This record gives sequence, structure tokens and C-alpha cells, in this order.
Amino acid sequence: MISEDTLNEIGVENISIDESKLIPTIFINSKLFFKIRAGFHALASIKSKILFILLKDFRETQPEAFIQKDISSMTAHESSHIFTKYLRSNGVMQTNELDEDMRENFLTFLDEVICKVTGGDAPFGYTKLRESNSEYANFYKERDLEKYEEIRVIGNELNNLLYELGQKMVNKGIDYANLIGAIIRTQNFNDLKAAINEFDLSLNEIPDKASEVKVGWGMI
Amino acid sequence: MIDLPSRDLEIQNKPPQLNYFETTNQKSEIYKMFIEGITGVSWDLKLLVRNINKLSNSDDKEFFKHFIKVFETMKREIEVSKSGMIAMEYFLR
Repeated sequence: MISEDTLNEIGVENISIDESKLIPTIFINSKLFFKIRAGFHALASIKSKILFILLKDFRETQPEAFIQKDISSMTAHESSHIFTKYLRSNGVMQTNELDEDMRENFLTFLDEVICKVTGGDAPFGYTKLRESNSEYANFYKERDLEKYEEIRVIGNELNNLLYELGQKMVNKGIDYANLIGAIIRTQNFNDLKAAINEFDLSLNEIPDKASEVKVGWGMI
Repeated sequence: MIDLPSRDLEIQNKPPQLNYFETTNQKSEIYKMFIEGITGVSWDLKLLVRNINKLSNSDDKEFFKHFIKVFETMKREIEVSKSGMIAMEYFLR
């Protein structure tokens, strides 16, 4: 939640809205973005009824080519969060995890992996317990330490698999976003792990970029 | 005109058998088309429907057909919230 003081401090001159996209994109002065959410560059208003994307405004300080790539990537990532929010609330993306905490954390993790690769980033997910000292994590620890540890172990294990997979995809010259089709219908952590492994295995049939045999006039 | 045995014609009409990797690619491409529609890169509903219909697994087809309905719902709600934002911006300035 943004406080009134922060809103006053942001000031209208530091806000610009790009209405050309389906989801309005609001650019906010990078120093002030820090006050809204430290450590982030972009946010989607997934908990609000008014839908928009907030982007840290790099436009005055960064070279144009970099900015365009960055803005496109962040916009795709955040748009994906808003779309998956709708897919979940309409029952299209579902989970069959039995435990409520597992359900919530599974959907958070899957959502982040999909959004990461949609924005062109390496596959990586997180559960709601990623920040071990957050108020949320502390609440979990006090309530059920065993479950807290279990969820964190699952998250770490999946991220190790995703890291290896990401490296392999780079070596094979495969776009990270190709992972989406393999995982989008998974409904629990076990399914997701199996899908990552199956996708990883399917990459074995594809030659590494470096080992491709060069033929044709280029060889002469 | 070349006479083809009926069996060959049957084979020609069948969709190509895709392996696991190619099938996941088809699904990834469909998802990306939705995101391109949201971000304003491109939106081609006919092509999207054609690509969904190309999926060989009927559960996958159904799954992605729901995406179209969800997309339309989302689009309507965004348009409403967007007009509110534009009005807010007008008054702020």
C-alpha cells in the first residue's frame, strides 16, 4: 500500500502514463520507485481492481536501445502476472495441492517462472517465503516451522533444477520462453518438478550450438 | 493429374506427428501470442484460434480455449479501469 505522503512526494511531474498498451503503464521516477518497493524495477497491480503496471523510469539516464529492450521485457513480465491472475481467478490455472499453504506457494512459484521466461529472463521462481526475515516468513515460521522449511526446500530444489535447465537452454540456443508450454498445466510441486525434468530430457535430442557441424560455402 | 492411392491421401491429411519438444513449443507460442496481445505487440485472434486447433491433445485445446474467454473478460475490465485512470490523470493535471 502506498502512503499518502509517498503519493504527495512522487508528484505529478514524476509520473507519466503510457496508454497505448492494453494495460496502462505508469513510469515513476526511479528514486521514488524505491519508496514504493525497494529492490524492484517493476510491479503489476494484481491485488487492485484498477489494473496497471508500474515501471521504474530509466528513460533519462539510460541509452535508448537498452531502455526499449528493458521496458519490453518488464512490460511482458508484469503483463503476464496480470494475465495469470485472471487465469487463476477464473479457474483455468489450478492447483490440486491439498494443503492451503502449499496451494498458495505453488501458484506463486509457477506464476513467477512463467512471468520470468515470458520477459526473456532465465527460469527462476519464488515462493511467498523467499525473504526469510519478512513479516510473512516470520509468521509462517512461528506457526509451522516444519512446513516453512519444507516449502523453502522445495523452492530451492526447483530453482536448482531451473538453473541447470536455463544453462542447457542457452547452450542449445533455445528461447527460455519455450519452457512455458511444458509447465503451464502443472498443478502441484511434484508435477512441476516432473515437467521440468521431462523438458530437460527432451533437450538432449537437440545439438549444442557449439557442436553444430558447419557446412556450405562458409567453410571454404 | 497424379493418381494417389487412397492410403497416401489419408496420410497427407493427417496433422504431422510432433515430438514432445515441438508440442511444448506450440503451447509456449500460444501463451506468447496472448502476452503480445496484452502488451500491444500484435493480436491476431484468427491465427491464435488456428494455432489452438492445431494442438493434438484435446485437453490442451480446451485449456487454451478458456484463455480466450479470460482474455476477453480481462480486456473489458482493463478498459473500464483505464478510462478511470485517464480521468484521474486529467484532473491531476
